[in-house]
Amino acid sequence: MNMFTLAQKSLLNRKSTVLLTLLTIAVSVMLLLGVERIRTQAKASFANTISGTDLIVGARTGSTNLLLYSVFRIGHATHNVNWQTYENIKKHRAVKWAIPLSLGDSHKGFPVLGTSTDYFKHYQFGKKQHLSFSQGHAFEKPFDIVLGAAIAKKLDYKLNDEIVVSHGAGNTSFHHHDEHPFTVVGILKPTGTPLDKTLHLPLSAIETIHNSGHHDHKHLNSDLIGEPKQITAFLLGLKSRIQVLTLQRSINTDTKLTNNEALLAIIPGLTLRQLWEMLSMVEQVLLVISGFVVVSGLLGMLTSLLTSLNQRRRELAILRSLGARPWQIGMLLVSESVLLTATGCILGIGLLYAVQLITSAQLQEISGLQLSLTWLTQHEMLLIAGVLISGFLVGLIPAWRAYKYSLSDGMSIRV
Amino acid sequence: MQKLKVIIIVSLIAAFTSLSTYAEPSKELFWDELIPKGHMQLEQQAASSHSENAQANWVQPELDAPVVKELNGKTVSIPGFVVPLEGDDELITEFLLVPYFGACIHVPPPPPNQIVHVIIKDGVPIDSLYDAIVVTGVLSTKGWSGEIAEVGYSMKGIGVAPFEG
Repeated sequence: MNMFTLAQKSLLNRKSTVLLTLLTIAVSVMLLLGVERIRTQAKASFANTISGTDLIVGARTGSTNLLLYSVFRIGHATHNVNWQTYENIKKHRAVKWAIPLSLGDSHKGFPVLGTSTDYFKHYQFGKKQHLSFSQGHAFEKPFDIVLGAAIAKKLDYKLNDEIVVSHGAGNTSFHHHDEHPFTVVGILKPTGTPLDKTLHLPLSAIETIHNSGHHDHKHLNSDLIGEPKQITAFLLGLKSRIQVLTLQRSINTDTKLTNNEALLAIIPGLTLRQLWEMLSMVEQVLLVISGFVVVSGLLGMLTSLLTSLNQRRRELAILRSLGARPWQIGMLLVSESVLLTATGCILGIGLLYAVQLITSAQLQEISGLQLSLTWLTQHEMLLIAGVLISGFLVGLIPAWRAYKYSLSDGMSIRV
Repeated sequence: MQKLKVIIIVSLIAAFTSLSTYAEPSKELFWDELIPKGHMQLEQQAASSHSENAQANWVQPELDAPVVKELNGKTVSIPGFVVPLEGDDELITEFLLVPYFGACIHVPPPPPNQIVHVIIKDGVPIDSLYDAIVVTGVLSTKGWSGEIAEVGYSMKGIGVAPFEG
């Protein structure tokens, strides 16, 4: 009889303990892979959100804060940027394009972004991909609105629907600007970034919804920018990327350029890197913790194998009398633990996919994190291989004990 | 440790490919070799960088700092620090190479002829921005759109190795 089938039969004979051991290993493997998956995919989705932008400029704050609120819609701006300053910097000779961003309003909990049509022309995500429309086009009139892919799906909005946008960033607002309904003229293709959850309005519209008291029909003409006094932040693209450091320095320190306004310019790629270097400690700790969970799972297996060994001395003696050699007895124990770990790993992977499938929608809603159901990555395979090897190594301990027993015991067992 | 190994392997591959693809071996280049002879700018900058006078501090070094035209098309290795521009969570595909760390915060940025804009098609893993690296690649002195202010060095990167000096 094959050693593995023998191990399998022997294991099936001890169902309840084996099942519990399996579950321990499965849960620990799931945790290890899950932590790894969230870590890498969260990083990847962050990295994909902005590309091709040379500088982000906002009121002076922490560089991470500016990046988070301007691009990822996490947190809030502490101050605004004067429109005049924006115009000033836009005229700088190194600047190729500028995109104004005005944040702070919401529609049913989704952020509303006031911007110019340059946004659809110059904003890039992923690996320098431009935005594209799945339906419709960019806004052309002051009361046009362009939706991110996720909103259109979630709230079931179609082209030409009318939407009311509220003031403030809460889920509901107590004074809706009912008098200014917007018409959906475009829906963007999914990008996998916070953009999918954003409503895009012309900059002029942001001003109008705040002047709700007096109806100003002057804006009903085709002016998309209006006369904004302030914006939240803006993105800059430069003619040459070599100018990035110089212009960043100018914006941060040159009072003439910024009209004495305290502004902060950041390089998105650099700030993102710094954020990760800051968070790498947390990542390492998470990985170490889930590693220890796997270790404790394997230790549980070791315990159950060792305690069962005493009860199985008679079984082992019978195998000996049937002609099994001591090393074969040892092999039996090793193959048992390998079988247990392998099954545990498979079960753990299955659990991971099940949990991911069930929670992914909620996770995306709560944290904006998109976890894709990808096949195991090379890194994850390596982790699993590591678990299997440790399972094998752990199996050597009871195997050695069983080998010793079968050498000394013979048929007569003195327990 | 693992990343370091990757970097070493990448640099080894890079060394081989650069040997086989290009007839001339890459030349180790230092930052002052990027400034045309007789052009005094480093001293100026050093003087302004730690000046007490905040007003003087923001004065930019000349934007039209000239480049050494002879370096165009040469395969060179330059040591420096990375200011990442593009990339994903693992690899950096586009970055600025600068001669000193923190070029972006405490002191005025280097003049355009002391910055190399590097594009590496397949990207390289960079572990820490605090560590100096050596980039090997083909240097180009062509400006982007012809304006004086936009002249500078760009490089098609082949490989990156940790700096050991």
